[in-house]
Amino acid sequence: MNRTVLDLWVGFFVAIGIAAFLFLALKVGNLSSAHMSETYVLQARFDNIGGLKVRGPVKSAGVVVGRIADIRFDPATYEAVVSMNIDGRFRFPKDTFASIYTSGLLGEQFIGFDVGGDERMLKAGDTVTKTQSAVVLEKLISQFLFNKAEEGQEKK
Amino acid sequence: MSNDILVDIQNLHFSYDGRPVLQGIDMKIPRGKVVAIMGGSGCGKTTLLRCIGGQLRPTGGTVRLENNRVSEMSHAELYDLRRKMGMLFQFGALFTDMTVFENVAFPLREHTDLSETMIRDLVLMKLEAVGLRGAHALMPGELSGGMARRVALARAVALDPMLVMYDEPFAGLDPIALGVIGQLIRKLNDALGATSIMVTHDVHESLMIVDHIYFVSQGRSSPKERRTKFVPRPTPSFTSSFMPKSRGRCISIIPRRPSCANFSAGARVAESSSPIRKLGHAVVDRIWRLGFAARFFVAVLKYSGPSFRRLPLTLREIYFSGVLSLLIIMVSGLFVGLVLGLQGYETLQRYGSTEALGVLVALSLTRELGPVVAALLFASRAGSSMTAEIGLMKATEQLKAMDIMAVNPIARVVAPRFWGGVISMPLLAALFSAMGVLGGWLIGVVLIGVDDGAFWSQMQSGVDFRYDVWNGVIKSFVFGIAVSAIAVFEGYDSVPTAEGVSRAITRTVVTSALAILALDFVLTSFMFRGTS
Repeated sequence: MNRTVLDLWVGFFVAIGIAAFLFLALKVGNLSSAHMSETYVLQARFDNIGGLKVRGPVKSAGVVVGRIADIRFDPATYEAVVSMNIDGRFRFPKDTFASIYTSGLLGEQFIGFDVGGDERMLKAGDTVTKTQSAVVLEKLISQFLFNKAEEGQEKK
Repeated sequence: MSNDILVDIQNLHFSYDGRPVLQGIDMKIPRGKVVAIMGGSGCGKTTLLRCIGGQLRPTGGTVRLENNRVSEMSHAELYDLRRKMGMLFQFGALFTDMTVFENVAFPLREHTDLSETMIRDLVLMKLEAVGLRGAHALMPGELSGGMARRVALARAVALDPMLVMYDEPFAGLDPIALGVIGQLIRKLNDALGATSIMVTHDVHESLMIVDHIYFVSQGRSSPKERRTKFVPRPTPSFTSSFMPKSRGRCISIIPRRPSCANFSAGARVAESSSPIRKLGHAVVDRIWRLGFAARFFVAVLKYSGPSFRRLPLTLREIYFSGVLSLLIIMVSGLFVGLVLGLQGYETLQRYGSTEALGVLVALSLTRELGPVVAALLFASRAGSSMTAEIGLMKATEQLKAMDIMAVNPIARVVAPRFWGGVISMPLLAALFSAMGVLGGWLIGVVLIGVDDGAFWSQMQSGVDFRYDVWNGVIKSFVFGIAVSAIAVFEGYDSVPTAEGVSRAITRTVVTSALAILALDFVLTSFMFRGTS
């Protein structure tokens, strides 16, 4: 085969290979918008994190504002300590409420920030003090049944 | 006296795995002469030739070429020396992927800095000398046996060597071609002022052209009896069966012990041994192979530098392993995406979350299916052909021919193929995944009617660049290394027969598939350990 034709094909191949990679990176992997150039760390303590996972989203008003970086167990207080990388563009008040929600009935779990009205803002390394643990479905159901049973007894 | 002797062999011993082949050979080859080495099949003639060329290290004794001790030279020194040697292999050993012109130009391109016009003139001159100037644009496959031998002869003398070696130059030729080759050997030897050593068992043709004949006999006699005029003592019938008329030429008999019998006896012992012995042999064999593989890869890495400096070689291999796999990879990727789209939709529908189709398709492709299926296809498409090419080059002595032309076959043949594969693989896997995502989109959005926006946005929020896309790329890169390494090794290590090469190809595909799946498990467990 002619040298130049061969070079042309190899060039074409490398070009569309890289194009495919860029497609995966930008369009599929969403590198452009998921990439947070500057982040700061916040911590939160929960009694129960349910099915929360590392790399899960942190949302405020439904918008992703950060990712969960690390989940540890604190043996002193028997609590879960969750570290979050928060997008550097956003600041949250001191009295922000961190709750664990579930997206959909069976979806993934995430941390939601419900913003308070405090003037002072959380700084890097701060701990969110107001937290609400994950809702455990089994507990919910047993509570529901218990209530029903009590109702039934009162009627008698 | 030493000035008249070009090759001086003293008390040369050589054994294959402890099986003696050459025992105490003494030989002096005068400058400017054509010398024939004769003897029955399997008596070590070719081995003798390879000891002179330095391709085999003798177990004892010395080989001197001019005043260099060939048997004790380093690899680099040998390569320097071999530029002054030419060799014609049994069946020519032309490089089948190059034209006649490129074949003859090969030693000139490798060892000189001549301009392209100079090379062209020289090559056409050499082709003219063997009467094949008109055939320069043909491929070796289009030549007859005699023509191929003449082209190989032109290639052997391309650098005007001082020593030309011929390994069975007459084998398998018709009487007319035979005469032509014989005359050419004599003519070229005299024209170049070279010295020729010819291993042959064709008495008639040899007698027409040679000055001196050495016999390697099956007999057993004391070394002192060599180099007498005609010594039929070792086994008179043997010599006279070869030589009906000696015509008073200088004929020497080289004694040699019968060893073929020992070998077959040894083989019989191995066959009748116990299963435990067999198992032991198999294990030792595997370990030996593993060690050989490790040494082979050190060599591949060591000679990668030169092959990268000559980028066209690697580009050519990217073309063969990458560009030619393009169609199969893209079409397969598309189909896998289509199937994933259908199946995924079917499953997600049960949970009422069909908009998650995008993330399902994209995650399964970037994380697993892209790298793994692309690597499996790559192994069977490109890996097998790499093995076949290298194996066939070995079987047709093209690799040996390269080596004797002082071109390292690992640097010239193996390393570019290896890197071509390593570079192609991640690109192919990325293409496969991209085509798959498009296939999923076609089925999901265009055909079934999942919401376009939901499809892409779910995908983008569900697929992480660092963890999913990038890890997939790392995987495909590792698979590329594994498949290319297995392919070039199996080719290089293949038994040089048709059956051996076909077995090597099978082994490449099977071993690659196993390696890909096993590596996939190992990599996945490392990559996604902390995240789920």
